[in-house]
Amino acid sequence: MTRVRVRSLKNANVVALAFLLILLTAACSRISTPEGWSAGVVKDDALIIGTAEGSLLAVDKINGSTLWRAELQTPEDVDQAIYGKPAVADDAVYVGGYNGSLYVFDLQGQETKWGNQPMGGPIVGGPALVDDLVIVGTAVDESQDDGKGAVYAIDAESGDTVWRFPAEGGVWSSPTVADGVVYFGTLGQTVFAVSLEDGSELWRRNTGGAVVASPLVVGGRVYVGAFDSVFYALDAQTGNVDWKFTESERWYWTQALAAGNTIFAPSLDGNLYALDAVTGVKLWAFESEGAIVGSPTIVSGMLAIPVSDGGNSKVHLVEFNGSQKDSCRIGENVFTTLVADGDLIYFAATDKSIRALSISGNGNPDEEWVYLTDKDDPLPRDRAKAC
Amino acid sequence: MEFLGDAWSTIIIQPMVNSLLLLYWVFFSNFGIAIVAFTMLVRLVMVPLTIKQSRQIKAMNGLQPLMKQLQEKYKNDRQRVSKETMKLYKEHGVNPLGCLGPMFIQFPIWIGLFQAIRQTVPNNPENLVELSGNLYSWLPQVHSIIPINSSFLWMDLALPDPSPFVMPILVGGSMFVMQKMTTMPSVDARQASTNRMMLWMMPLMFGFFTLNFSSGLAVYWVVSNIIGVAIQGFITGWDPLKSLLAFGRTSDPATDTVVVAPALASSVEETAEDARNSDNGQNGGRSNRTRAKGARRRSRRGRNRRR
Repeated sequence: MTRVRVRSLKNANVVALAFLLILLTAACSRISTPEGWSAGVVKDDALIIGTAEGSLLAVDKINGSTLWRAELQTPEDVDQAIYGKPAVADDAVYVGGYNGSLYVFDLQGQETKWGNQPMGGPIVGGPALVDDLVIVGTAVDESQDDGKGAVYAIDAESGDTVWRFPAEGGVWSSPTVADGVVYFGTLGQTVFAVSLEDGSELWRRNTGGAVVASPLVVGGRVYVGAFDSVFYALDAQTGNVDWKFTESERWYWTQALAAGNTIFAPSLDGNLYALDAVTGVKLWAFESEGAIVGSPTIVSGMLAIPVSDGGNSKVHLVEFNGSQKDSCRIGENVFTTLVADGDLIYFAATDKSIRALSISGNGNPDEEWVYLTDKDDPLPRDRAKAC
Repeated sequence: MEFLGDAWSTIIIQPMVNSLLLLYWVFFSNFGIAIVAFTMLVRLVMVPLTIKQSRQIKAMNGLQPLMKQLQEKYKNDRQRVSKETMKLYKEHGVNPLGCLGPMFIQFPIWIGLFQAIRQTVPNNPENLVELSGNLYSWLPQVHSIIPINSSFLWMDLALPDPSPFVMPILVGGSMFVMQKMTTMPSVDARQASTNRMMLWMMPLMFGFFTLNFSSGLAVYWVVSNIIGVAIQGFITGWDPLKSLLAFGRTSDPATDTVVVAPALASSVEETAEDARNSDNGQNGGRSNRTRAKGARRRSRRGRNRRR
């Protein structure tokens, strides 16, 4: 017995070493690579969306069958992912890559026009398309001395840079264009308004935290939440603060939604706050267990809210008075903004799936199809549905 | 499993992440200094354990001559050597596993720190979303500084050292010195072989990890090792380091030829005699503590005689 014990003591160091190896290997395996959470956009019969593999995919919006898939060309040692929503014109689709390039494809998935354009740093927010300009922000800008992020206006036809605005901070926010003004937030805790025409600064408003959400511009106000857990309503002309909402316990990540005189502010604390657009008074809050990373949408006369909570992630269907009608348990985080078309909503989940749910008028969700992006076709219809 | 994940996050990750960010806020938005300060705090918290470990190592050092004697005495009876060795440990209050305690306690800290650094300096949006869930809502300072600047010296602390060999060499070198200072000596050839393997394996392994892990973790390892070496040196002396600096002129403590003082030799003989008596049932009623006292008394007598 004693001999066994002494031997085990002698081997203790070896055991410790093995234990250390296992733990560190386990930790190492948790090094994450960006996978993206592109929202989709519906164009005619197609849903066009970025995949976790870093390609742009078009599927039939009714049955989920593959229409085309375009690979984003990137060097092998650069992480590829798509976070922003693609911008679609009549003849082309523009998408920003986390690898730092802006791509343009025709509507059959072939590179067209100028193909791809290195922008000097990762692109997180989706591009905005207005007139003949593609407006896109970059998280950093290694092409410039300051290295900070910037917003570019790119000629959609030629790919030439029309203007560049140095943002003094990374731009993860998708620019919003309204009435000739480009609005965006920065990691440098600032909301900017710049002229669409020449990129000159119109105003800036400092917040108490980084701004990655895309501003919502409606009714002469700019609505945007920040990492200081404050939701701001700014005057669109001057940038002055009209009101602030401070009840959230966590950050605001995504764009708010407007319906009538109500602003719906989704927070990472799991609440969707319904606020009076003029006064900022809280009308109600829909409370969930997880975090709202992607924006809700309106479908079949109600709100569809994506809530990420690991295995308990759901899409909730909520009436405009805050009462829940139903929900669909997805079981995987849903970081993407929901996209509605008719009575269907589309989104991607972190299991590399793209899903379509139909929402009936009484709020019942029904899973129409599921497409796993590492496969070529949607899952069979007789599978077990999430809802 | 989900419960374990939540517990790990609540107990380890969240305090680390918030501490690191608070230190970043305090130390002029320099994440490198924040990690150094954090390391010093961690080592400070672990000082009692480190001191205990150092004393165990010192005690083990002191027992080497006795163990050598035992080995020679019972060289044909390994079972007896094992038994007597355990007895010796017990009599002198030495717990060989006691040296491993602080090392095991550091494992979750390493893993936690690895994850905390990864989260604190997120290199992609997924990490930033994950970070938001680990920040204390009652600590507004940590929210206002996100995202932090992860540049430090020539490194981006979120990424591996771009040099790419400076930090691996520093980590491996400091780990080697640390191992040298804390390796328990052994007269047993097998154990000495294991020690030699550990002496080289650990630095090589951690140097390799540094090639792939965020350099922030490498900064933690280097600072932690330096502090560990200093503590060990002040408690047990700097002989291992001196021998290292002498480039092998002094032999490895793990495989030293042990010179046994006459007093200790007599102590061993008497210990062995005690053991024989114990085996024969003649000493069955004496407690270990009594025997230990006796051994110490005899040892003192031996020293007096020598003088």
